[in-house]
Amino acid sequence: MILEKFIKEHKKVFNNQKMPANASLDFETRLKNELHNSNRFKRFKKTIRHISIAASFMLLVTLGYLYNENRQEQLEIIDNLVFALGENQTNSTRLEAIYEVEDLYQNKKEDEKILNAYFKILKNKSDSHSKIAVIDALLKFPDNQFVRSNLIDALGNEKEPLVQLKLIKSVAILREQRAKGPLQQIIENKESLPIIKGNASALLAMLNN
Amino acid sequence: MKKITTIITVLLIVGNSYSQDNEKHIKFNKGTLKICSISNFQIRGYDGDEVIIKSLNNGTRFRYHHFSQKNENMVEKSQSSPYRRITSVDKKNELKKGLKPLGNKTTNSTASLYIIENPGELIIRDNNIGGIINLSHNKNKYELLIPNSIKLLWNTENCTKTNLNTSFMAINSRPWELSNFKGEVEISASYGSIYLVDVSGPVIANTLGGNIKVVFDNITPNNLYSLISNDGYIDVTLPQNANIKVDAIGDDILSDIDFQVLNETIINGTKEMELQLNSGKTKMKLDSRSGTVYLRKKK
Repeated sequence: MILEKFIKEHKKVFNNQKMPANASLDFETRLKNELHNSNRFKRFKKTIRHISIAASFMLLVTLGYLYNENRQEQLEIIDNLVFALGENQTNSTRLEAIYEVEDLYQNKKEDEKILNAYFKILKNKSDSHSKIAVIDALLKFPDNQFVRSNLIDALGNEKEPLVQLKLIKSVAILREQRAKGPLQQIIENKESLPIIKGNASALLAMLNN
Repeated sequence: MKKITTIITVLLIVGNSYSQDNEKHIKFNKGTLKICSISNFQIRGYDGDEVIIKSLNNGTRFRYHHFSQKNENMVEKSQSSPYRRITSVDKKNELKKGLKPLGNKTTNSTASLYIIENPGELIIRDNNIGGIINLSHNKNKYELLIPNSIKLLWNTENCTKTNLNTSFMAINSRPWELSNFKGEVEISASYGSIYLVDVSGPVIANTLGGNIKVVFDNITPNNLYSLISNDGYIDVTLPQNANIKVDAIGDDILSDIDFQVLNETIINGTKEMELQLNSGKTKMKLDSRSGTVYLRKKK
């Protein structure tokens, strides 16, 4: 219908000259080719689109898989490290694990599982070096309230002079007012070494000012 | 001829009983050797299966108390104040003032060790009456040969450390020495220095008021080393081909080794450095707090 309308409107342009017989064949072939090419192009575009969608989907799946894999790996590493931080380990194995965590988690957000393992080490009768390494590791999270509370509790309970000294210095860095009570206890305790009492008194004076 | 044979036999018997007095052999090649003593020990590792204790106290008769686990409660325990002992030692020293021993022979009735054998554990401790540290043990010297296959826990107090005990610990001018040992080691000293030569580790050692000196002469460090000295220096001699990563803390850190400096900070006047030599495979943590860390190249 549109072709008929077009011819009527452009009547003047058309004349009575006949088209050569061989031309029609050529025209039809060309027309066919044009039509065929157009279909192929459309199909090609369609295929590309499908492939793109599939690729994007695959990429998402792969990224998800890799993320999960990485996360799984991270969790496994954390689990292994938490296991290595446990009570049943030798002191050197536990200490090595603490140093490994320190290296792995530099400038990273604290992990709850690892923090709990650290708190356990501080509370238990672990060796002095493990406790000192844990205190160093915990000091990297000065804004964490659990970390601060556990360090103050440890100051109140610790009996090993080397660890006591480390805790006093840590609380000084944190300028933690809640440490006044445990510090007073250390000063009044007859069993405290003079060096510990001296450090505790100096910190208490600093906190009172 | 008969007379000569008799004399030789008598001499052999006498010699044997003398060596039993000054040397003790204990079969122990698996487990933990726990030393709880303020006596001065020079300990060496060897590839054997006996712990051999030799007394180096000149002219001293040396006694051993050998307990099995069931008799461990034979060690007297008391809650009495340790200050009594201190007073008596001080008083004794005052009485000695201006006088010198007469004659050539010396007596030392205090040279005495308890040896306690438990499954997988051998404990050597001073004969402390009532659980109180007897300062006269500080003068006693022993040489120990220990198998490389065991773990060594060495506490230069009495292993049931209370702050009361450590507060009056006498300063021993000779460091506690351990050499050529291939097993795992943990050493804790209060006011004394520690000297380690060719100890492969892992090593965990600390002292509250002494120095720590470590020399790697014929070996390279391959296991964890963690050393803490609160009020002394830490001095480590290393071969240039060691693969170590050193975390050092001190008022100053000095070295003639070409370390790669990974990190350097100063917090509250204390210097903290991360150093690497070659691959940095083995961790070495050196914390001298208010003292200096010396890292020397093995010549």
